[in-house]
Amino acid sequence: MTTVNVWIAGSTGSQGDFSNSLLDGLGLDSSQNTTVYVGNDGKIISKQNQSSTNKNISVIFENNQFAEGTLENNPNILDNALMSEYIAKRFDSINIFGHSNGGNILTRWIERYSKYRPFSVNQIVTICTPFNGYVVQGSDHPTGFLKEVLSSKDSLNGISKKAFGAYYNYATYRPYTGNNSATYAGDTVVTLANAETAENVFNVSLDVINGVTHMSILKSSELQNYLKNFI
Amino acid sequence: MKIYKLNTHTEIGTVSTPLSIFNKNNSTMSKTGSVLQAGTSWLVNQYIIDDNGDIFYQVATNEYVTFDPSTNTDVRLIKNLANNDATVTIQDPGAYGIDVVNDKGISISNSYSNGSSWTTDKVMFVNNKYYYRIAINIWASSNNCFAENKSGVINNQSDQIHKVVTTQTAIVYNANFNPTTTTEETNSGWLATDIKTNGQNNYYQIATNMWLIDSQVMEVLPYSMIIRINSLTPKVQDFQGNPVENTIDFGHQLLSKGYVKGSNFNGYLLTDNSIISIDDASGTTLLYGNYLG
Repeated sequence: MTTVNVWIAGSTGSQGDFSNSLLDGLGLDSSQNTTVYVGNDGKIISKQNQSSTNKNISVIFENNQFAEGTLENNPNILDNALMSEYIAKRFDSINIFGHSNGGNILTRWIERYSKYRPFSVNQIVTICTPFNGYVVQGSDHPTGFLKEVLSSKDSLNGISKKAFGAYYNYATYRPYTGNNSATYAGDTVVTLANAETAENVFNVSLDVINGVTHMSILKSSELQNYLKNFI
Repeated sequence: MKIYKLNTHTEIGTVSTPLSIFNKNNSTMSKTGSVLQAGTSWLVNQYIIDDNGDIFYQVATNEYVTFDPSTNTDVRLIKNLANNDATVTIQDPGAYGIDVVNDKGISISNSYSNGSSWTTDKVMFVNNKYYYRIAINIWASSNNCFAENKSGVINNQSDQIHKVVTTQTAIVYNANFNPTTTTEETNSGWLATDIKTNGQNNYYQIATNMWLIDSQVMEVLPYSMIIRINSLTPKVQDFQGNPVENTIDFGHQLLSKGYVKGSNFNGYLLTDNSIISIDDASGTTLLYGNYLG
C-alpha cells in the first residue's frame, strides 16, 4: 500500500515561502519533493524532481489568486497534476495538505473527483483556510462557496480531517462589503471566525496555534510536529 | 491550424505602434510588408490558432495580425457588452486603489471604495488582463471587480454519467494493457467503471477485459455547474478537436453539464459534442449574492 503526500500552497505567499517555511522545516529537501507546475489551461507545464519513489508532491498553479474563477477551475487543474503523478508513482492513497486557499481547492477536488479516482484519500489537513471567503464572520454569515462546501459534506466521509488556525492579534479586517470597522481576532489575513468555519465543513475542532500569523504558522513547531507524522 | 468564428463587436486596436499584417497561405501564416497603423481599430470576425499556438486575428480578407499579450502592451481587444450589461462591484481596493487604466491601457490613479458598484458596457483585454469600462476613459481590472448577477442555479450532480468519449478510432486494450484487434469508433461514449495505470498511461475500463487508453479518449466528469465565459476569444471544439461554431460571448453564463479532460484539452461541456476550454471559462456556482464575500 503506497501513500503519497500532496502539498498545496495558498494565495498569499509564494510557493517558495511554502517550501522554505513548511517543507524545509519538515526536513524535506527538494529532491524528496516532486513539484508539478500546471497551467491555467489545465496542462502540465513542467515537473521537477520526478521520481517514482518520491512520496511528496507539491502542486503549483499558474494562477492561484483568491477569486471565484480560480477556486472553481483549480480543483480541475489539481486533478490533472494528481492523475499525471498517479501514472508516475502508482500510489494507492494520498494525504493532502492545503495552506490557506490551498485548503479550499483540495476540499473542492475531493467533492468532485475523489469517488472517480483509482486512489483513496486518507487524510486532509487544512491550515488557516478561509472557507468563508472574504467574510470576517463565521458560519452565521455564510458565503455561497461555504454553503456549497457544506452541502457536499458526504464526499468527505471516511477521510480523517484536521484543521489548523492561527491567532496573532485583534485587528481591523476589511470585509468584502459594508463598512464594518470592528476588530476581530485573527492571523492578520483570515479571522479566527472565518477559519473556524472549517469546524462546520469537517466536523472537527479547529486547532488554534497562538502567537503566529497566517504565514509564520508554517514554521511553528506545533504544526510541523504534527505533519512529521506523515513524512 | 484551427479557425474559430467570433461574434461581432470585437475590435482590435493599436495605440502607438504599427502591427505587422500576415497572410494565410494554406496552413502557413506569412508576414507581409503591410502594417495596421498606430492608433487604429479594426473589427475582428474570426481568428486562427496556428500549430505553434499563436493567435492570428482576421482584420480583412486574408489579412491577419498577431500579438503576444504578455509582452505587447500596445494592443487592445475590445468587446461591446451592449446586450449583456453588467454591474461590477469593486473588491478589495487596498491602500493604493484598484488596478485602473485609461482607453490606452495606461495605469491611472483612483480611489474607488470597497463595495461600490458601477455599470459597465465594454470589456477590454490589454496588458494580458481584462478590464471593464466603468466610466469614460476609465477601465477597472476584472481582478478587482465582482460581476453582479441576477439569477442563480446551484451546482448539482448532472444527469451525465462518468464516461469517456473516443477522440479517434480507439484501440481496445485487455486487462494487461496489451492492444487487441478490437476498436471503438470515433466519438463513442462509454461508461468508465475503473481507472488503472501501467506506469506510462492511464486506462479506462469500459467492459470486462476491455480498456481504452487515455490518449485516445476524453474523460467526462458528471458534475454540472454554471460557467462564465471570460475570454474574448473563446475556444469551443468537439471531442475530436475540431472548432465548433457557436454564439457564446464574453460575459455569458451557461449551465455546463460536465467537465471534460483530455490529454491536450480541458474544458466545460456545452452540448453533447462541444466543449469550451478551461482557459476561456471558469466555474461560478452562485450567480446571485456574494460568492466569496
